[in-house]
Amino acid sequence: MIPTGTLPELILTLLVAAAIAPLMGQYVANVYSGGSSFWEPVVGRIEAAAYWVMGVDPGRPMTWKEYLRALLITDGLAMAFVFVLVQVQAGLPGNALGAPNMSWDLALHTATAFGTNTDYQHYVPETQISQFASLYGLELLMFTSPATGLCVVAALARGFTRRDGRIGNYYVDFVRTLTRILVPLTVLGAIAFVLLGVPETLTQAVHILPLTGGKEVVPLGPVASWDSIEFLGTNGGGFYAANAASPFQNPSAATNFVAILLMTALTFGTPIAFARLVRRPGEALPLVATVVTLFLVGLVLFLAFEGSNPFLPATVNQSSGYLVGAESRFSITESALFQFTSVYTNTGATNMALGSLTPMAQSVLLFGMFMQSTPGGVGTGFGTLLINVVLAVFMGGLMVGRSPEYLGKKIGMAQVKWAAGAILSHPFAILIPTAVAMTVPGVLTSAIGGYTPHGFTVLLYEFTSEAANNGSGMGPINDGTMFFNVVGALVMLVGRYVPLAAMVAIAGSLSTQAPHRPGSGTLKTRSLTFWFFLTAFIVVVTGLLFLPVLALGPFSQIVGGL
Amino acid sequence: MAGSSADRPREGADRPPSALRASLPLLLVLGLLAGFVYPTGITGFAHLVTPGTASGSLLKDPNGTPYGLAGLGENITNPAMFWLRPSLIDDQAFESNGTGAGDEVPPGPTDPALVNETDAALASYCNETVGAISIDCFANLSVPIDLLTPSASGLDPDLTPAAALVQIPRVAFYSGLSEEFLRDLVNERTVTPALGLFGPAYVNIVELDVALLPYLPAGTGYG
Repeated sequence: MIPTGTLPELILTLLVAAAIAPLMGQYVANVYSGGSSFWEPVVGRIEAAAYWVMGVDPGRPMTWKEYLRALLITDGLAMAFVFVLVQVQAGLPGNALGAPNMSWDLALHTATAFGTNTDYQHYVPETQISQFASLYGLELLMFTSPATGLCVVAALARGFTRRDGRIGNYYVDFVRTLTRILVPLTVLGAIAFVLLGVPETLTQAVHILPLTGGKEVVPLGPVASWDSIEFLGTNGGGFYAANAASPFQNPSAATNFVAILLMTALTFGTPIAFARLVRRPGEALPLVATVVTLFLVGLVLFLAFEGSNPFLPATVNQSSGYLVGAESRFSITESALFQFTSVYTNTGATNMALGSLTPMAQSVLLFGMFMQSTPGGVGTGFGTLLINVVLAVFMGGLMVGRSPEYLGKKIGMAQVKWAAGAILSHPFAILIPTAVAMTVPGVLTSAIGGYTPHGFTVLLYEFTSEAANNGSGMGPINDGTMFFNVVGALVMLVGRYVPLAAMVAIAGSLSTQAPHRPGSGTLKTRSLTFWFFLTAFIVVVTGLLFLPVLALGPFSQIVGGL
Repeated sequence: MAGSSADRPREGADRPPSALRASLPLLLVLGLLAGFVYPTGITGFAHLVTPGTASGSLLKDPNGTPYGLAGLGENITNPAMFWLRPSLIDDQAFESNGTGAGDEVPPGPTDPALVNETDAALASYCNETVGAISIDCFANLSVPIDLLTPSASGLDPDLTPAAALVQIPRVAFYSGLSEEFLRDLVNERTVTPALGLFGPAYVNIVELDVALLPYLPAGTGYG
């Protein structure tokens, strides 16, 4: 049982998060509709200079193919740069702890992980990456990947408002996302973390002489500034291997609280931003209600399952919750709220040892990554939600004999094809690699030491986390191998760019349509019925796709032990 | 700026510039901002407003020797002192050459190793305690879970107050200090929730043991 004394804090945290998200939504909508900012004179000049340097005409909107091409090339270049950087880091400055060059496969995995907003770490941050590569390489990707995600929200909205086949200029969206959303908010977050005692220094390590003898080298660095973009951009890669469980990255209940707010700010704000961008603010209601419903149901289940573990002997007092793999400076409720939020926003930072969670709590996390949209990562989570909306509107329209329309645009073959492709790419990217890893001789044994239900859960979690661009890792798994690096990189690329391409394509295909006046045959989306239908649609589709694998993993753990 | 050589990789001047032409300078500038300007700027700010915590809150003994960092645990096994949670990583935590993050994790929730390791921790706790106060430890005690099981980071220096208090009979027996004195010491060092709302109550055991040290008979501390 979760200690009831911790519930007021839980509710307060959720309320504060709920108060911030609509403000963020308004703000983001203002940025993408070309509104002026509180520091317009400065930021306007910076942007003008950026467009001049890039040779971009900000007044020229792109077709969806141009938009997607610009997006892919920007992301690709950034990842290629990091791929090279971490392979030559040993010879570069800023490597006081002597991190060796990464092998090509580990470099591939690392660059892909950060470039796709996954941030799954097969390397050990303390020993296998230099400060220089961390800052100039990884931190660069931690800014570009959430920016890419947010741009897609703007593009999708334009699909509904425009009729000239143009969905905006990618470079303008990208630059404005950085100058007006990510950079100011990240700086605010970093200042908060600094004030709350998170280390922030250019010293790379300190030496200490512990009282129990011996000596230790403790890596340090600009942790507060890393933390801020890690959480705000739903990146989730840790400065330390222990990530948000580390006493340096997340030293207190206060920093834990700020981290939760940073993770929820943009992710819960985007549906509101979208609805304002399509000039129908009321349409945010069914979307937000769906996301919040699924989020809260998941949270309540997760908390309930982390209350205690009946498998332990009665001599062990679990009155403060099931604290195995959780930190004592957080109550179990704080740990669980952070961990749940991190996985459901596809941030993937961990402040608990996920392998120690009770099997049903593990299932709750897996289900969130199967859904990817409650609320999911910055931008892409909302995009996935919209893909579900497209399918739900289409199917709902067929069921009740209404013409499938959404926000004044007809949902036809083109949109449904792209949406179905995006939805199906997810089980494809998870189940096939899991099945391959289970059957290729040697891989299974070296990774998890042979089949056990818990081992299967760990394996499934690895590919699910990569496909959902989540990045949280469940142990124990030996995944620093060529197989997991190469396959993992492919899984992350499919998990990121197939849905992204589908979202941009849907925006493009809608942007050529003239808007429709709603008739008597139009399916009403701003309604209680649609909220209920969309929620049920997401749960049922996800369940149909993934319940069988949950049965092989966590469910068998409960029945069969181990 | 835009070269006019055919179609690849650059296009004509009134056409949209090629993606490479636009993306490269964008990433160069952004790399400098993300890698240098942002962390350096925040570091400068941090060293102005919170110089102590910004450099990791180094803990120093009276001679000025740094013995730890706030929030960092130690492996204390002396029965005359308070113990921390069992850790899966040793003092060389930060120097070990792991092959993949997540190699050293607590056992799974239904893994027999979890019960075995918990029992072992309970036994080592009880053996010391039984020696001290001769009660039937296994039957009568309800030992808080955090004293027996590892944390997520493996560095956790903290315990719930209950897990600190339950060690008092043993510490009193081996140190010769009174239980009342020790209880006061623990209570004094217990961090209570901020505003009565944020965070659990907990005790930093590393700092508790540092406070305990001067009261121990000479030569019985740490070791």
